[in-house]
Amino acid sequence: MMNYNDLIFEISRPGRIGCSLPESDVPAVDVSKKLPAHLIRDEEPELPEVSELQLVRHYTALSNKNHGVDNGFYPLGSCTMKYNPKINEDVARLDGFSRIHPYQPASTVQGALGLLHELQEDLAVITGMDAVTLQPSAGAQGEWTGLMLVKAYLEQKGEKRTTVLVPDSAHGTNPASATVAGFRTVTVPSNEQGLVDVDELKKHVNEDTAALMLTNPNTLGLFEKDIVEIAKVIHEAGGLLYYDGANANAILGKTTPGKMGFDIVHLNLHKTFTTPHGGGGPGAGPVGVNKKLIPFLPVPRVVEKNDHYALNVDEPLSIGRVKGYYGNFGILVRAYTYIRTMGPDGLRQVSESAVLHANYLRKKLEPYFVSPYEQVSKHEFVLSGSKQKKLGVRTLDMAKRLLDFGYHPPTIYFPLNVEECLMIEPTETESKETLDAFADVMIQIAREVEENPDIVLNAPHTTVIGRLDEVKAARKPVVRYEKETIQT
Amino acid sequence: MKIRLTDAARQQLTGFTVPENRVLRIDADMKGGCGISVHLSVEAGEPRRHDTTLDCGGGIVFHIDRFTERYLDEGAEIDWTKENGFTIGSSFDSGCTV
Ligand SMILES: Cc1ncc(COP(=O)(O)O)c(C=O)c1O
Repeated sequence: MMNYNDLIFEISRPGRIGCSLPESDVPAVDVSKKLPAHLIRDEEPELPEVSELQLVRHYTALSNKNHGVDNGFYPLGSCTMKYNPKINEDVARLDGFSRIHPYQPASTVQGALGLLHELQEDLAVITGMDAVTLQPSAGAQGEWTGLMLVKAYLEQKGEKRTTVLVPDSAHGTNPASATVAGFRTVTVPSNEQGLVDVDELKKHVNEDTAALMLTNPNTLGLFEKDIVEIAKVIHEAGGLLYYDGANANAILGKTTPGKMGFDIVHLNLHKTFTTPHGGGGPGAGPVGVNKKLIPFLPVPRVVEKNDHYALNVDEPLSIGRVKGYYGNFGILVRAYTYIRTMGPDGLRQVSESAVLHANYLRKKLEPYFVSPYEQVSKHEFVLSGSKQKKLGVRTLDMAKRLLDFGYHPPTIYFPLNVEECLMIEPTETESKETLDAFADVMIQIAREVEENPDIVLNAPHTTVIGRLDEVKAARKPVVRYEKETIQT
Repeated sequence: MKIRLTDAARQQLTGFTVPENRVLRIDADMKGGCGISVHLSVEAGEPRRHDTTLDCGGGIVFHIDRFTERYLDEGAEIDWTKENGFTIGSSFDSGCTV
C-alpha cells in the first residue's frame, strides 16, 4: 500500500506523467538564442513525476491532515477563528468580481468599485472613523500604514516626535510596525488588573510622544475602562491614538474606537469579518482615520462623483500606495458579503455571543486553572498554567495533549505578562455543545496533570507525528528538501 | 545529564544560601507571540513534583523539571558575569506565529 506520508518527490518515478498537453500550435523557439547563457539551466529540473491519481491522493491526504475551522474547534486567542460562511465564497466567485482586471476602465467595473465604496463606508461606520483605505493586506500592514500616517501628519505640522508607546500586553506586531515606520517604542507596564496603568502612562508621555498603540479589549480580553482618560492624556500631549482592531469582535455594534477617542484604526477582516486566514496572506487590514488624517491616506481610494465611482489618485499629501492595485479584492468581497448578510443587528449579536461564550467557558474552567484577572472578560480570556507548573507539567504539554482530542490548542505563552499563559477565544460561531465538550477535555487534562502526568508530558499520542523536537528544529532547521538530507 | 559550571558560576553558587522551602533550579521559560523563545535561567524556586536533581559537587545541587530537561543540552555551560548574572548556553528563538 502507498504510504501517504511520503513526500511528493519520494513517490516520483521517472517517466510517469499526470497530464497530456495538446500539440503546440505555435512555432518552437530555441531559448538558447533568446536568453543569456547564464540564465539557461544545463540540468533537467527535478520535478516530481506522478500520475494524476497519485497527485490527487497525495494532496487530499495532506489536506485531511490539516486542521481548520471547518473540521474542528479552533480557540486560538487573538485570532478570532470563527466559521467563514460559504456564501462568501459564492459571491467572491461571481464573474463580475472574479473575471475582471484591475486596469479595466472604471466605467466597465462600476459594480466592483461600488462594492469597495460601500465597504469603505460600512467600515467607517463600524469603527466610528471618517474615511477608510482598503489597501493594507494584513493587520500588521495596517499598523505600519497607520504609523506612516502619523508620521506624515506630524511632518506636515512641522513636529518631530519619535516615540510610540505600547503596553506590555500588546501584540508583537505593534512594536515591530512602529520600528519599521522609524519610531522608537517605549513599553508601558500594565497594572495588577491587566490594564494600562494611567499614572504609569503619564510618566512616559511627553513632547516626544507621537502615538499610543492600544488594543481594546486588550490581548488579555479585558476592556480598558480608562480609555477616555487615556485618550485625553495622549491628545493633551499632542500625540495620536492608534487602535489595533484585532479584537473588534468584542465591540461590534456596541461601541466604536471613534467614540473611545482613537484617531486611527485597523481592522483584521480575516478575523472579525469571516474571510480566510491564510498563512501570511491573503488577508486584509483596512485602516480608518478621522478627519485630520484623511489627506494622508494611501491612494487610490474609491470615491463617488455624480453617481459614478472612480479611483482618486490625485492627493498631494498622500503617503502613496501601500499595496498593488486596490487591496486583496476577493477578500474584500467576502467581508462585504458578511456585513450585508449580518446587518447591524446581526453584527451586534456577534459581539454579544462572542463575549457570552468566552465568559461561559471561563467560568467552567476557572476552578481548575489559575485565572489571573477578576474583571469580566470580553470575547477572549486568559488562564495561567502556574498551578500545573508546580506539578511539573507546563502549558505547552497541555496544548500538545489537546491535539489528541482533535482540538486546535489556544494561543499559548502570549501575552507575555501572564505566567504559562493560555489565551482562549471560542468565538460566537461555536455551539454550547462544543464549548461544553472542550471544557470537559480541559478539565480531564487538568486531572491527568494531577493523577497521570506522563500522558500529558508525552502528548500528543494520536497525531500522525508525535512530540516534535523543538530544540533540534530551532538549532538545525532543514528548510529545503534535498533527497540526501531526507534519506539520511 | 551533565552540565558544566564555569569558575565564576561555581564561586557565586558556593556562597549562596537557598531560602527555606526553595531549591536551586535551572528553569526553562517560554515566551510566545510572534514566535516562541525558550529562556533558561538559574533561580531559587519552589520544588516541583517529578524534579530530577543534578549534583555538581561542593554542595551545589540543581533541581530540573521534565520540561526543562528537554531544552537543556547535554554539557551546557553555566556562566556568571556581573552584567548578565547567570547565563546558560542553550536559550533559543524559533519562528511561528499567532
Ligand atoms: C492583537 C493583534 N494585533 C495585531 C495582529 C497582527 O495582525 P495580522 O496577523 O493580520 O498581521 C494580531 C495577529 O494575530 C493580533 O492578535
